[in-house]
Amino acid sequence: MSMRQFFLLSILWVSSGAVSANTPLVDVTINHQAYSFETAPRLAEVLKPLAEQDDWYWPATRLYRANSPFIEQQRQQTLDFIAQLINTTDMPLKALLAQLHVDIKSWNLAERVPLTIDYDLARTVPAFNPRFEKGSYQLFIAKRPTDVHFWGAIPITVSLPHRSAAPASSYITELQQNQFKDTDRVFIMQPDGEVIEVGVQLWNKQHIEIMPGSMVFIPFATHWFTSELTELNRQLLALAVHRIY
Amino acid sequence: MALPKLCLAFFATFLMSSCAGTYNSYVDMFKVALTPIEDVTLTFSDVEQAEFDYVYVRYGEKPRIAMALMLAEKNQYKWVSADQSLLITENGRIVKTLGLANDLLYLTNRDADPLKQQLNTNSTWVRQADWSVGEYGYLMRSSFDVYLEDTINIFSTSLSVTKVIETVTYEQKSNYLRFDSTWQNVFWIDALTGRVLKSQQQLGPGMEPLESVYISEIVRRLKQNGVVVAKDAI
Repeated sequence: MSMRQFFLLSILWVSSGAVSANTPLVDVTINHQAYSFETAPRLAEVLKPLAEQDDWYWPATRLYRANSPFIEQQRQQTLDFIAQLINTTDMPLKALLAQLHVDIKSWNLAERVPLTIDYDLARTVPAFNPRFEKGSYQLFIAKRPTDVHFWGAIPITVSLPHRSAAPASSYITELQQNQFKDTDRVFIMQPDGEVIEVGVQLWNKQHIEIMPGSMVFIPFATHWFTSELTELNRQLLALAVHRIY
Repeated sequence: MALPKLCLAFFATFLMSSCAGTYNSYVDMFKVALTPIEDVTLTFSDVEQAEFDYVYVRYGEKPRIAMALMLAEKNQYKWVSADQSLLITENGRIVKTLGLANDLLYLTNRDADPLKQQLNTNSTWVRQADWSVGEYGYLMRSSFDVYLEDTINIFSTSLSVTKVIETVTYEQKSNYLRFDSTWQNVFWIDALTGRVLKSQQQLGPGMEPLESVYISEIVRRLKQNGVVVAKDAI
């Protein structure tokens, strides 16, 4: 190797090293502000820039991993299934399903990372301060939410003020009645990612309260359309876990 | 006849020796179970020389522990125990817990807490509490009685303080059978600095009271007052 070749290779090696050193390993968008980390950060390090800026309600913190290919596949699978149902049903269920089809197309989706997120906990207990894997993430930190959102077998998503010490069943009468929604149960999708099935009828009513900021899924009544609506409920619930709201 | 006896003796010895390990472990287990766990006690000198601030905490009937000040930020003190439980206080008021069976997740309207302001007998405070067992927005209403003269006895000396009794009423209709929708918290406050030096706080109905003594602040206060305290005073 000539001196000239050695010199050129040295420059290439140094420059490639410099590029890899400056390429962020982890990108996190926290409340629409972008942060980059060149080495894999721990949770507390990621939370630090915003944690002390406000009185955050940590149970409502949500973490998503961006660019997970299976999410779009899952969305398409659900959309195809709804389209198939639209073709085989009559009004007014057809209209309800068509509206749901439009809504789901507009959903902002990313892979939900199920993780208990609390800045104080992360700094106290190492098990709650995991290291981020390489990739891009979206993190949402909020003050204590004041609303609860209902969606599913109802014409439009409805937001109701959170009620103190009130069971899930106490909200149901506020929702528009229709013949297609399951009147026996709802699914609380808590901001922290936990999904809780709750009985809301007199015979199965449970005192389970809704965490502020939760999404509540009103399932389709399955006796109307046999097993296909059962499958639709399952797919909607599985997809909605990854919904960014 | 000698041989069967010898065999029997050997067999009995074998059995006894085989059980010895288990027997000893049972004895050890009972010793541990029956030995009372003692309260943590720090001397005046221990606290004076400590790198961090310490607070004594007793939860219900459990032994007293010492929690170290992990962080002081945003007007909050964050106290950590050896088993990684966390108490977060704002001027002595416990506003969040991590590590209890039912943690206090969040308390609203904390800025209006009369403990942070000019406290008098007419003071009232309303806030909502969220609990980790899945109870959200439980309304608590407090009224306060201020008793100007009281003392804290610690480190073989006494310190003059203002005693404040807070009567708390849990306003929400109970979802479970509860007999204590009203209870009292007590705060002993340094009249000069307004800092809570000692407290007995029940966070919610049916919960065991948490007693705290801010020993590091008491040591500082005693030294400021020029009180001579023996190094080994507890």
